[in-house]
Amino acid sequence: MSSPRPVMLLALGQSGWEAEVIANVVSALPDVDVRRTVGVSDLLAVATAADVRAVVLDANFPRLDASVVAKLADFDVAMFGLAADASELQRLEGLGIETIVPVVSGEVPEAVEQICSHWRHTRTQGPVAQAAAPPANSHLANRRALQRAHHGQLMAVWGPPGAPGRTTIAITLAQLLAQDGADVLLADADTNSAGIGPSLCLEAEGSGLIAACHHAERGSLDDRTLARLARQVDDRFRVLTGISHVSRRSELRAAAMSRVWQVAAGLTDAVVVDIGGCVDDGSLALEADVADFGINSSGHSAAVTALGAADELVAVSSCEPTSVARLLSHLPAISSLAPAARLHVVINRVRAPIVRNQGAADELRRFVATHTRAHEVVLVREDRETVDAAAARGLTPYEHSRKATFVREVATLSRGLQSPLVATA
Amino acid sequence: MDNEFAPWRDQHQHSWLRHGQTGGFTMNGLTAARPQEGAADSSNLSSPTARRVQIQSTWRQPKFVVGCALIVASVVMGALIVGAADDRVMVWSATRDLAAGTVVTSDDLAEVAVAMDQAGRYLSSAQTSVLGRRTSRAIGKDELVAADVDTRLITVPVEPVHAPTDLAHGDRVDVYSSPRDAATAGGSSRLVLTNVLVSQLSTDVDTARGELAVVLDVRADQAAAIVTAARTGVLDLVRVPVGAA
Repeated sequence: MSSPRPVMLLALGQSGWEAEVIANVVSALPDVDVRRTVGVSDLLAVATAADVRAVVLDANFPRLDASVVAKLADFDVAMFGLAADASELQRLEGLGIETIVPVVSGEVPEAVEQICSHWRHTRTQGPVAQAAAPPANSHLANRRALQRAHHGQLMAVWGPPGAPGRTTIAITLAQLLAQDGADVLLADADTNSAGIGPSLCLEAEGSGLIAACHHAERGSLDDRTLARLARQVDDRFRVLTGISHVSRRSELRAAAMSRVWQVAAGLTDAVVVDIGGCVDDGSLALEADVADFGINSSGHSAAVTALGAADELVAVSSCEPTSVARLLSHLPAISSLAPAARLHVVINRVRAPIVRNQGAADELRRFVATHTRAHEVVLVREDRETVDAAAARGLTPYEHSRKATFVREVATLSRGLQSPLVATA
Repeated sequence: MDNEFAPWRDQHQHSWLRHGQTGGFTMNGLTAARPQEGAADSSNLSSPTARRVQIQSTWRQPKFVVGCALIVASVVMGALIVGAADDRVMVWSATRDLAAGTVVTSDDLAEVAVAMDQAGRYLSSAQTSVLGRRTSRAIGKDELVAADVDTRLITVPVEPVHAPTDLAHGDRVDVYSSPRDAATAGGSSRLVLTNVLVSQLSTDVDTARGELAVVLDVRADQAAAIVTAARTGVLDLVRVPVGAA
C-alpha cells in the first residue's frame, strides 16, 4: 500500500477566481491531494486529521483569524496568502502569514505557479533551507528589519497572589523609565483583577487590551492602531488598559495576544506588562482542546504570551514569610513560561528594622537570590505614607513625590532594567 | 495614482517571486490605496491623551470654598443685622422687692438691657443719682425702675387719730379735708385726692402738737390741692386697701 499523498488545502473565500486557482493547482501539482475547504472548522478538522502540508489562504476566507493561522502554524503547515489588493496584503500580514502572493484577475496562473514553485523549493530544501530562504517579499523584510532596529524591551511584572504591591511597582517603574527618556507602554494583563486604570484614576473607557486583541485577531493590528488604542498619560508614558470584567478574559486569545506584544515592542522602547498572580498556561484544559482545537483561551493567555515574549521578568513579593513562600512556590512555573527573560526579584514593603539592620537585609537578599537564582534582588522599603498620600490625591507615588523613599528605591530596579535599553539605543 | 502604488509594486517586483518564473507585476485593476507606510510611522504614532479623574485636595474643592464663604458671609450678615437691630440701652431693675420709700442702695439695683423704643420709660443706669434716694412707689423684684413721673413730695400734718394707726411708707391713702373748726365753719369733709402714696412717715416732727408729719407723693398738678387742704383744714388719711383701684 502506497503512503498517502501529501495534502494541500485551498481555503478561498468568494473571490471569483476560486475555480481558476483550483484548476491551476491541480494541474501544477499532480502528486498532491488538493482539497477545498469551506470554513474554519472544516479547515482545522482536516488539518488535524490529514497529512496537510500546505494551505493556500485567501483574505476573504470566512472567519479566518490570527488564532486559526497560529493553530495551522502549530501543525507545521506551509501557508500561502493570496492578496487581491493592498489592504488584503496588510490583513494577511497581520494574521501572521509570511508568504503572500499578489493575485489579480487574469494573473491567477502566474500566482499559482509562484506558490507551487516556492512550495517545491521549501519541500526539497527542507525546513533548514526554508529558514535560510529569502524572505517572502522585500516589503515584509523591510518591516522586520525596522522592527528589529526598534525592538522595545518587554518587561513582565508578576507577583504571587496576595497583593504584594505589583501594580504600584509596575506603574512607578513605567514612569521612571519614561522619565529617563524611554517611550513606555504600560499594559494591564492582569485578567483576574485589572488595577492600572483605577490606580491612575482613568475614566472608564473600553479596554485597550481587548480592542488591541480583536484587531490582532482580524489581522488589522499595526503600530498606529495600537497607538490609537493606548492612552497617553504623560509625555512618554502610555497605558493599555486591562479588561473591565473577568468574564471577558476568554476573548484574549493566545495567537492574537502574541501579536499584540510583538506590535507593542515595535511601537515603544519598553513595554511594562502587569501580570496577575495566578498564571496557568492552559496545558490542563483538555476539554477546551477537544471542543475548539485549543484555540480558545484558558483565561491566562495574555499573561502567558507576555511571559513568553518577556525580555525581563520582575517578580514582586511582599516582605512577609507567606508572600516570600508563595513567590518561591509559584516562581518556577512562571520562569518556565518566560525562558528568555532575566529575573529581577523585588522584595516590597521591607520594614524599617530590617532596613536598619544591614546584616538582616543582606541575609534576606542572599536567601532570595539563592532560591530564585535571580539576576538581581531589589529591596524596596515600606513607605505607606507616600503610597497612601498619593492614593488620596488620585496620583501615582511618582507623581505625588519623586523624592519619596518608595520612588527612589524603585528607581534602583529601573536602573537594573534599563541597561539593555541603553545598550540597544 | 501610479506613484501611490509604486512602493507596493516595487516591493513585489523585488520579491523572491521576481526571481521565479514570471517577472514583474502590473497592478492593473487594483483600486484600493496602499495605506501610507513608513512616512506616517514617525508622525502618527501618538496616543490619545488619557482622561484622568482629578481628585483635588479638600480645601481646594470649589464646594468647600463656597461653603466656607457662605458660612462667613452669613455670620457677618447676621452680626450686622443683629447689631443693627440691637439698639438697646441699660436701665435699672430691682434685685428684690422694694417698698415705696425704701432708700435705694447699689445692692437693690442691677443693670439690664432693654430695647431702645421702650427705654424712655425706664431709668437709665447711667443715672447713679437714684442711689440713696427713696423709692416713690413699690417696685417688685426684677421690675424695671420707671423713670420719674413729675411728682412732688408734700409734708402734711395729720393728727394721729386721723390716720391709720399702723400707717407706713408705701401705703396708699385717700386724703379728706375737713374745716379746722367743723362746728363754726359748718362745712363738711371733702375728698381732696384719692390713692395717694405715703412716701414717708415721720413721728418726730412737731410732736408737741401731737401731729404726724406725713410726706405724700403727689403729681405736681395735685400739689396745690393738698397744700390748700392742709392750710384750710385738717386732714384725714383713709387707707386704700391693697389691690383696690
